[in-house]
Amino acid sequence: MTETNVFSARDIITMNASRPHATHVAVRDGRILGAGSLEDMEQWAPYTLTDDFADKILVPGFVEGHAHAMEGGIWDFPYVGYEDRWDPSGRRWEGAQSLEAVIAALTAAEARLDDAETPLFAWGFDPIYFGEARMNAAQLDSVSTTRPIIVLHSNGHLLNVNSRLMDMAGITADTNVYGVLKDDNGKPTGELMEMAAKYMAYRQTGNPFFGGIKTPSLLRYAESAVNCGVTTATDLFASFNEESLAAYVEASQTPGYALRLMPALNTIEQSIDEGIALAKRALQDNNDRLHHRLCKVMTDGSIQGFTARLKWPGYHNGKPNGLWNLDPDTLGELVLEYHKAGLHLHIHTNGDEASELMLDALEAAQLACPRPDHRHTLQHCQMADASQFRRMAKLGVCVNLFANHIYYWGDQHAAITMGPDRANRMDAAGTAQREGVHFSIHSDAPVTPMAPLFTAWCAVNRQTRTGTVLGPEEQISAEDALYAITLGAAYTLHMDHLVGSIEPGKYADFAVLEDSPLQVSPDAIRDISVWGTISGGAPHKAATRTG
Amino acid sequence: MNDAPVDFTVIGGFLGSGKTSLVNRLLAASGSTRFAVLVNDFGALNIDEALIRHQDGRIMQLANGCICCSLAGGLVDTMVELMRYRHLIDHILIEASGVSYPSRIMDFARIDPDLRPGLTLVLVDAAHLQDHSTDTRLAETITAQMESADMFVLTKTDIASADMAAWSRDWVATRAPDAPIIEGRPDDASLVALITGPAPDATSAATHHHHPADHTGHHAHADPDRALHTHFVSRAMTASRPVDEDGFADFANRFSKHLLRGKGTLHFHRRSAIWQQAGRLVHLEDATLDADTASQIVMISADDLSEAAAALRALGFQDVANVPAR
Ligand SMILES: [Zn+2]
Ligand SMILES: [Zn+2]
Repeated sequence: MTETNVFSARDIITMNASRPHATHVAVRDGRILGAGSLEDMEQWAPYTLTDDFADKILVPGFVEGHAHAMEGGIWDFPYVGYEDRWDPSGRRWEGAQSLEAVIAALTAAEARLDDAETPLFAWGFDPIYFGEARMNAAQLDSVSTTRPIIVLHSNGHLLNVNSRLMDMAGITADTNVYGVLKDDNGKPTGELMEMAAKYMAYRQTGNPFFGGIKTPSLLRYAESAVNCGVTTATDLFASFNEESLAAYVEASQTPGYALRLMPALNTIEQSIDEGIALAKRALQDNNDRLHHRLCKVMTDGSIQGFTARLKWPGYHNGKPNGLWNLDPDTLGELVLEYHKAGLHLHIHTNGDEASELMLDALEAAQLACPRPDHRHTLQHCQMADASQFRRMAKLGVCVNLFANHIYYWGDQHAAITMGPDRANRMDAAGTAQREGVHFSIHSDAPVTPMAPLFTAWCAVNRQTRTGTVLGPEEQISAEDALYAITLGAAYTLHMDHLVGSIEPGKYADFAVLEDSPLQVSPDAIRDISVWGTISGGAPHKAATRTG
Repeated sequence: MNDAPVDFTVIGGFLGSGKTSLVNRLLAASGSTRFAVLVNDFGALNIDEALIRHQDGRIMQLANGCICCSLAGGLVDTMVELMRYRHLIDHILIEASGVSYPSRIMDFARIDPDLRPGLTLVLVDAAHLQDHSTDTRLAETITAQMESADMFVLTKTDIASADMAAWSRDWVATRAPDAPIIEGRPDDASLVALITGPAPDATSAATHHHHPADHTGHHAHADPDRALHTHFVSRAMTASRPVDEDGFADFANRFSKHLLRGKGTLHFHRRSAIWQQAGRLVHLEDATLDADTASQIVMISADDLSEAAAALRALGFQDVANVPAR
C-alpha cells in the first residue's frame, strides 16, 4: 500500500464550497484524499502526519493563466526596470529609479562580460517614470564603446542602443527612416522604434530572444513559480518546433519538477492545417505535469504601445488606431478552424475593437459548429465594456483580465491612452462577475512579475502606482480574487477537475502562505509571504531572497 | 561574394487581391533573377515538391535558385535570418499582409545599405474594394496603402461588374491621383515583368519600337523584357544637349501616373545620372557616363505617352527615329 501523508495547517482554504475550511489534508500518490479535521483523517490511517506547516495557511496552488516561460530564461540578461524584482534564484535586482541608476546597473553587467565585443542586452527599461528625460547613445557609450549595447524597453516597442551599434548599422544623421529618433541637431539619439530600426539593430547582434524555449528556462520557470505559490502555469505563446516540444517533455519529466505546464501553440507560426496537426500531435506528450491543448491567437497590439485596436473614440491623446496582427478575416477563419478541431483557444485582445472582432468570430464559430463547454478565453481584454461581457457570458467565453496593468500603467491609461472614463472600467473584474463570466486575472510575466497575490491585490484595490483608485465599482472581494487565481483560472484552462481547489481526487497542489488572504486587510494581500508550494504532495520551499 | 545591394520590393493588398497568385507566377518565371519571396502562408504557394532543393525550418530553397521564406516568425527576425544568405539573393520580395503598412516595410530597404528600395505595388480587389473601403476595421490600412503604393493593380475586374470595376478605379484614382493603375490578372506575365525587370534599356526599346512586326512571333513570356513591350506602350527618346534637371524632375513627377517604367542615362548641366522610375517611385542616381553620348531614355506605359513625349520634347528630347545616324 502506498504511503499516506497528512499535512496540518493553521487554516486550509479549500475553495471547495462543500467544505470551505479545514485544518488537515490527506495526500496519497500525489493526489488529495480529503480535507477536514484531525479526526476526519482517521479514515486514512495509517498515515504520516507532517506538522511543518501547522502555523501556515494552505490554499489551492495558484494557477497563472497567462505568463510566459521566458520568465525563466530572461534573467540571463540584466534587468534595468524601475521596481525591484527577484529572479528565480531569489536574487534581488534593484530597481533603477533614475537614468544614472540604469547606467550604473549596465556598467556592473558590462564588467561581468569577458571579451570586449560581446553584445550587451538588457531588458525592462521603463523611462515613462523619468518624466521628460530620455536615454541617449552618449550615456550608453559611457558603459562601452567597443561592444554593441541594446536596452529593451518594457513596453516591447522601443530599443536604446549605443554609438558602437549605430556605427555597425550605419545609422547616422543622414539616416532618414521613421523610427530612428533624432535630437534637435539632427543626430540620432540611439532610441529606435518600429520594425525597420529594430531589424537593423538585430542584424548586427542577432536577437537573443528569438527561437523556441529550452529546458533550462523551463526549469527556472518552475523555480519562479514556487517562489510565488504557483503550481500550474501557462507558457502562453509557444513555438511548437521539435526542440521546444522535446524541452517541454524533458522539463516536465525532470524529477522534482514543481509545476504543471500548459504551453499554448502560437497559431500564426504555421498554416492553420499544420498548426492544428501540431497541436493535436502534441497531446501525445501529455503527462501529469504537461498539459497540451491550448492554442494562442494574437489579435492586436498593446494599449501603452498604441498598437491595440480601439473602438470609437479611439486613443485619448488622438493617436491613430492600432494594428491588427493578421487580416480580420484570416483571424476569423483561424478561430473557426481551431474551434472545429476541438482545440482550446486563448485569444490576446487588448483593445475593445479587438475583443469585439473576436466575439464576432467566436459567435460565428459557435453557430457553424456548436461546441458545448469550449471555454475559449479572451486574454487581457482590458477595455471590454459591459455589453461585451454580456456577450461573453452568452457565448460561454471566459476572460483572463490583466489586473496588474492597473497598478503599473493605470496612471498612463487615465491620462494618455484611454482617458479617465475608459480607464475606470479597464480590466473590469467587477463587471465580469456581475455578468456571470468565468474569469481569471494574470501577470503576463515577464511583462510584470509573476505573483498571484499581488495580482489579486490589484483586482481588490485597483490602485495605481501613484495611489489613485481606478473605478472602485470594479473592485472585487478578497474571496473572489482568491477564487480568480485558483479555481477561476483553472476553469479558463479546462483544468478545474484537476487543480484549483482542495478536494478529493485533485492533484495535491497547494500554495503555502504565512498569512490568510481572507484575514489580512485588503491592502495587505500583496505583502503576504509565500513559504513555497506543495506540488503533487511534495513540498518545495521558495528561494531565500538575497541582495 | 556579391556586394551589390539586394533589390527590395513590397507587394501589398488585402486578402483575396491576388498576391499569392502573383508570387507563384513570379517564382515560375524568375528567369536568372534569384528571388527571395517572404510570404505569410507557405502552404498557399503551390510549390512542386520536386522543385524544393532544401528546406531549413522556415526557409526553402528552390531548384531555380529562388528562396521562399515564411513570415510566421515575424518580419524582423525573418529578415535578420534571410540576410545571412544575402550572397544567394538578387531580389527580395515581401508579400505584405493585408493589414500591414507597406511603407513601414519599405523602411527596411531605406535603413539597410545592403538593400535597394524598389517598387511598392498594391493589388486592389475590384470586386471587394467597396466593402473594404467602408469597413472601419480596415480604414487606416487602406489609407496607408493608398499613400504608399508606387502603382496599383486592379485585380478581379473579370469578376466585378463593369460598374464596380469603374467605381474601384475611380476610388483609387481619387486617393492616389499620381499613381498608375493597371488592370490585370495577378498571374499576367506582364505584371511579373514589371517586377522582375530587367528595366528596359533604350536600345532594345528602340528596336521594338521600329519593328512592331517582330512581336507577332514572340509571345513566349519567359523573357520579361519582351512581355513588357508586348503588353504595354513603349517609347524611346534621346537628347543630344544637356537637359535641365529641374525640368526633368518635374516631368517625372507630373507624368508618374503614366510611367509604369522609365529608365535612362541623362546628362544634366551639373551632373550625369541614371534615371529609373516605376510610377511614383523615382530614382535619379549620380553616374559617370561617357560625355560624348546623348541622353537616352525609354518609357513604358499602360495608356498613352504622347503628352509625356511632348513634355520631353520641350526639354530638348527627340524621338529615337529622328536621331541622325552617327
Ligand atoms: Zn498578450
Ligand atoms: Zn502574454
